[in-house]
Amino acid sequence: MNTLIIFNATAKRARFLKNRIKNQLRLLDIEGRFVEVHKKGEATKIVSSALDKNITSIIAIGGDGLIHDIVQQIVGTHITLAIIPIGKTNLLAHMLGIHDWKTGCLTLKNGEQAAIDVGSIDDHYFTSSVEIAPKIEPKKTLIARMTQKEVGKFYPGTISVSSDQNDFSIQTDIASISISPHPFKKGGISFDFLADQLLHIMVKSRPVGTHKRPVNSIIQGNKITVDTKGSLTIWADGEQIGKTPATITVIPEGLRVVRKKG
Amino acid sequence: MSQVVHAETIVGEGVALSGRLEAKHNIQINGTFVGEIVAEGDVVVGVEGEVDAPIHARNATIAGTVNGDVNVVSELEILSTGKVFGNISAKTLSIKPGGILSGSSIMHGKTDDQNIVKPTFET
Repeated sequence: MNTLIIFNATAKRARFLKNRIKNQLRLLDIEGRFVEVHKKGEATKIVSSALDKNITSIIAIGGDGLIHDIVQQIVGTHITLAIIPIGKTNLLAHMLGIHDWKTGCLTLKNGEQAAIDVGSIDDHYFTSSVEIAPKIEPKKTLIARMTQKEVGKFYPGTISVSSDQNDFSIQTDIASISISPHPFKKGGISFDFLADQLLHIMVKSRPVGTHKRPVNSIIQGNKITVDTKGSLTIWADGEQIGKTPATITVIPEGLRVVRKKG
Repeated sequence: MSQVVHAETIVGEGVALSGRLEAKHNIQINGTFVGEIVAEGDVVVGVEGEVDAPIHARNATIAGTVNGDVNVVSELEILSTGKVFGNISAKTLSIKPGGILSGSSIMHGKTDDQNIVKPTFET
C-alpha cells in the first residue's frame, strides 16, 4: 500500500497532537510519506503531484478545510481517503463514525472501505453541503448554519431539478438553499445514507400567512440549477466559491473512504 | 424543521412547483403543484396545498385541494378540509364530514358491478 499522510499544521489541535498521532501510527504499523501543509490549497497541489506516483490511500490529519482541498483531486479515482480529525469542524469524519483522533487512528486498522456520493458545482467537489444565501459569512458548522438566525431578505428565484424520473421547477422567494449529497434530518444531515445517488435540497422561503419563520421545502434530484433575481453567494463545504446562477450535480459513489465499522 | 429520518419530499406553504415529481418515498405538498405526482410511498396534500395534477401513490391523505385523478394502491383519505375534483381509485376510501369528492370512484378488490360508484358529494 502506497500511502500519503497529510498533516495540517495549522489545524486547531495540530501542535498538541502531532507527536501523539505520529506515535500512534507507529504503534499501529502504519507507514507512509508524511507531509505537513501550512496554508490553504497546499494539500491540493501535493495530492495533484502525487497522483502519478501510484498512491493508493491518503490519510488526512486535519479538519474539513484539509479534506476539502484533498477531495478536489481524488474524486473518481481509486484512492481511498482516511481521516484523523483534529480540525475545528470535522463533519465528514463524523459522518464516517470517526468522532476523535484516536478513533481515526484505530479506524485505519479496523475500519471498512465505502464509497460515498459527492456533489459537484462548477468543477468544484463537495462532501457535506453547498449553501446558497445572501453574502453573509455563514457560521462554520453545518448545524450552526442551518439553525442560524435568518437575515430576513428574500430573493425571487427558480430552482430546476432533474433526475431519471423527475423534471420540475420551483418558483419561490428564497432566503437560502442548502444542498447535500446526504439527506437532511433534524439539526443536520443524516449519516445513514452515504450513497443514495441523490442530491437533497432544502429551500427556505418567504413565510406565508401567520408564519414568522421561513418555510422549508425538501426535494431531491440528480441535477439542480439555481437561478435568482439578484446574485446569491455560494459556499461549498464552507468555502466561498462563486455566485448564482449555478448547476449542481451528484457524482454517485465518487469518493472512496474508510469508515468506522458497524 | 421537521425531522426527516428517511428521504422525503416536502413542498412548503407558498412554494409553487411545476413538472413531473416521481419519488420512491413520501411526498407532502403544502404549497401549489402543477404537473404529475407519482410516489411509491404516501402522498399528503396539506390544508393549504393546491394540486393541479393526477396523483399516483401507495396511500394518499387529502386535506387541501386536488384537481385531478387520484389513484392509490391502498387507502385514500379525504379529510374535512379536503376537496378532490377528479376520479379516484383505491382499495379503501374514507371521506370525513365536510370533505368533498367530485368524480367517480373505483374500488379495488370488488367485482365489476361493485366497482363503479356514482359521483359523491359530501359536505
